[in-house]
Amino acid sequence: MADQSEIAPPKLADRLLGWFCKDELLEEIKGDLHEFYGMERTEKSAWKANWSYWYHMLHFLRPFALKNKTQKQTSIAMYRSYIKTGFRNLKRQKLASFINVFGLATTIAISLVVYVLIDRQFSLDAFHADADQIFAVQSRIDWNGTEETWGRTPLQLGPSLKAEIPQVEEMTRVTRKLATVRFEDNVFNEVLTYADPSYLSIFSFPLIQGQAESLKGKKNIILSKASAEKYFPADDPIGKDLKILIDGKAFLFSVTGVADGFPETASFTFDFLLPFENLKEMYNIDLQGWKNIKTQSVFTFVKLDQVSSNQQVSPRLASYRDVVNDINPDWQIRQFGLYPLPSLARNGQYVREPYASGSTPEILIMFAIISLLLLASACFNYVNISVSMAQKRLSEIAIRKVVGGQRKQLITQFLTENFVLCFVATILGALVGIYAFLPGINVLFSGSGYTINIFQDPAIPGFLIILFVALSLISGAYPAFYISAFKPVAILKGKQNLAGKNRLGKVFLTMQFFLTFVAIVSGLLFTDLNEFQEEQDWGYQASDLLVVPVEDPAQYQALKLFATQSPGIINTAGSGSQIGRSFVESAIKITDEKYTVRTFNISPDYLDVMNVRVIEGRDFDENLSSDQNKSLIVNKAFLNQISDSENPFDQPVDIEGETFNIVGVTENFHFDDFFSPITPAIFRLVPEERYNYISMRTTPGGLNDTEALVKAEWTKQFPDSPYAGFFQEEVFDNFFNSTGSLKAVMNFVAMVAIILSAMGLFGLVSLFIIKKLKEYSIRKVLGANGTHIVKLVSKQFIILMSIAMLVAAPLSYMIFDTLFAQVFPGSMDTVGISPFLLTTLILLAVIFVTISSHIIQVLRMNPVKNLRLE
Amino acid sequence: MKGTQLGEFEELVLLIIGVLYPNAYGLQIRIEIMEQTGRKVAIGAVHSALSRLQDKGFVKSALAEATHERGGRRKRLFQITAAGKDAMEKNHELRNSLWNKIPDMALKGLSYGGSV
Repeated sequence: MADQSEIAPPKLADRLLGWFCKDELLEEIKGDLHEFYGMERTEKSAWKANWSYWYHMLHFLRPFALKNKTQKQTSIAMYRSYIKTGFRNLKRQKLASFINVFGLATTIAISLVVYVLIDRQFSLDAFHADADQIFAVQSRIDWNGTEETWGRTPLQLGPSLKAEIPQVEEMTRVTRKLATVRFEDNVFNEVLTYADPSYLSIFSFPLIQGQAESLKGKKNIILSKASAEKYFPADDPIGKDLKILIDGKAFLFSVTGVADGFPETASFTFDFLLPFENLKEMYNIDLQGWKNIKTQSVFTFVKLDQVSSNQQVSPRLASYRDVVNDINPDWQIRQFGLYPLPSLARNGQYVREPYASGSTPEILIMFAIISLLLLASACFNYVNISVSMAQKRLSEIAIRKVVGGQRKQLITQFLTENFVLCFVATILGALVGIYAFLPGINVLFSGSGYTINIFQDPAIPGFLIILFVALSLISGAYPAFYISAFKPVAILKGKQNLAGKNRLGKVFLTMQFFLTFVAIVSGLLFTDLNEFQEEQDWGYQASDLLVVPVEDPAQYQALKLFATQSPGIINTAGSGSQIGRSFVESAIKITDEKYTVRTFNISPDYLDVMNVRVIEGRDFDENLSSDQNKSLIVNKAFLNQISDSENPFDQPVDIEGETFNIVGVTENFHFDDFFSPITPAIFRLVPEERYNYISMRTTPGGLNDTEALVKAEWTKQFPDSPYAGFFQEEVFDNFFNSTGSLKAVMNFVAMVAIILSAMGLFGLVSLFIIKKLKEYSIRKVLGANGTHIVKLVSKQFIILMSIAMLVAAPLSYMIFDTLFAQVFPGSMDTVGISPFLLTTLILLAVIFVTISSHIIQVLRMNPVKNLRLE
Repeated sequence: MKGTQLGEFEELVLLIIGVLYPNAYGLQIRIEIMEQTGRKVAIGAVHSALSRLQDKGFVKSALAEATHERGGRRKRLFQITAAGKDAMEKNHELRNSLWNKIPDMALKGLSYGGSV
């Protein structure tokens, strides 16, 4: 018995067998099958044995073994007939079927795409073997009384954990740094990842060439597949020497491995992977330090021996916290915490400087809600239309009942027909989703690269099946129960008052128009926001500005010299970080309150070249020696949020132990995008060695010509360095692209919503008119004129729609006000009321067009024809 | 009469039941068929044939003692009945007599893999 339980055959197959097989035969058949399975398992792999078990089990689907065969066979025949009638109805009622299938398929496709987007977020980094045993160590810091999570930890923490806590199986420290990488003529600026050798055994990034152990050799480097193709398009990269240039110093590394292409669910990967110990000589970092400042800290990952060890390890981190806090009295850590890898990226946005981060959940939640609402909308249509179309089938229902059909059977019939329709819609929707919408999303959000492989990802067919069943039941239940309750005598006498007043249908329709309203408003809002951004004042003059990143003072000086000789360049300035492109955060103290502020390290003429307007105090003065290391210029936000006092110029500011005075205040300028609130920022002067950018103001319109000259000069003088110049006016392009994509998506959603609700209205109006056809005919015969009829038909729909829109307008304003407060703060103030008015107009037009097609039909009809049928 | 005809596969199963006496049950019969003839047969097919044979009265069956190997499930053991034996003999005789009636000329020169 014991060995039998060890090799139990697939349970589902057994259950299925038990379901169809005669009870008296079950024991011997099951016995044979199990014995057979046991034999198979000893010689074959599990899945082959399982497969063969299924095969033989299904071969018992023979008449001799089936339960109650007569009854089963008739009911199978019955279902076959239902499915056949289902398909016939699809064919006969072409318009209704088209509306239903189109609506359902479109919304299924949208839901599928949204599901894939969300699913990817939740499966981020789950591909790492033992992902749940891997934890990031992050610190929770006391930040003026509130707690903040910081991604970085002191350098020595990882090695100490590994050495002193037995449950820590492996540890790797990781950090990323920019450098120039050169092989022969290929020179690019790259992000290099430095990690301890166990990086490759903790994370599952398999190599296609070389061995993971090669990371132990100090001068070895491992490339990603993409970088290998970039630097060695034709050759074998293994054994080649890459030159890495940092601040003019060159380091040689030998390529010893190439990683396989990374899975799309990886929230972090690497282009170049180097042994961690190199940081010491390349950046002069003390690898044993406990200092918790930015330049001396790294990301720490540990792999525990089992998931539950988390409970034992976490409390032991407290002693390390004390060590760190003793050494860093200014930066008190409340706690070190273990953060599980599978949720690390998803929570990344709540962490200051996270190692991994996923996309904004607000957007995903919004997409999920939209797709649910669209699904609901398609279901409304289905319910409305199928009830109205039942008119044509009333006699069928009556006859079925008269010849002895039970209500249960009718319900089954309608549900089966519904399954047929939903099945067609699901297949279509899946195809459209996979082959049209998903590629579309990939184009819009460039770099997202989502793919679906139905055969590899069992969750996708599972999702589709669940969606299919749920939709069939939800959309089919009401019509099935409602229609099947009709009394046959009433139908045959012609007394069945179809749909009564159809209150439910009207409620559905009102809700649908409400949702459509919201969808259109959102499309318009995004369009508006996009336009708004393009007209924004950036706070400085971004046009006619060429910026070139430089690596050392020699490059800076060479370009500066070149600029003075070029008539196309008016003036130049240097800076450590560039507005809109990069920034550093520094921690400051004012009267013992701590703040982080964005810091721009600049040359004295930077504000002048960039045209950042000084509104109070003065600009930096090159000739004042106190300006070099004692003066600050702050932005208006700094003045408003941090220095409350009457005279900010007298208030000393402490930056990492040095005291500064504010000498000037600038107008606010945008550094991220146009909706994030402008945070406090400071400018301070630094010596030339620390400039990473040179900004050149060109004569108006001369940007392209000047760039060509600068680029030529650069390649002539610095063949070792990549030229990475850019136009200042392009720094927000990423942001524009992403809101532009959102705009496209929302406009598409609005289109779908309009079509769906127009279809819903169309269905309901036809139902209404079918019901009242005789009334209209009599009225016409008695001499009613066109306007009278128009009034009659449109009156109640107009009332309904007005209610929907009156409710929708203020409510949707509130919805978007709260939603955008998260994603694009402050944006609702800029758009005003026009999108709401425009939406109302669009909807009125849709309603008018939809209803008028029916009205024309009524006006043109020959009343005699309808009355004669009596 | 259709009901008492012995089909080709049924005959094979009947013969095997005889060969395996007294341990003839579904799976064992299938294994034996596969070994003796090299034909691939589904277990269900064997069971189906056994059920037909029993309906025709050619075999009788009884449930055996429970064993450990099948999780305590009993096997159904089959034995040939007199009617079964009769049917087999008839088939056998018919075949022999037909075989003997084939003139030598008809088979002359025919051999496995031989050329004409």
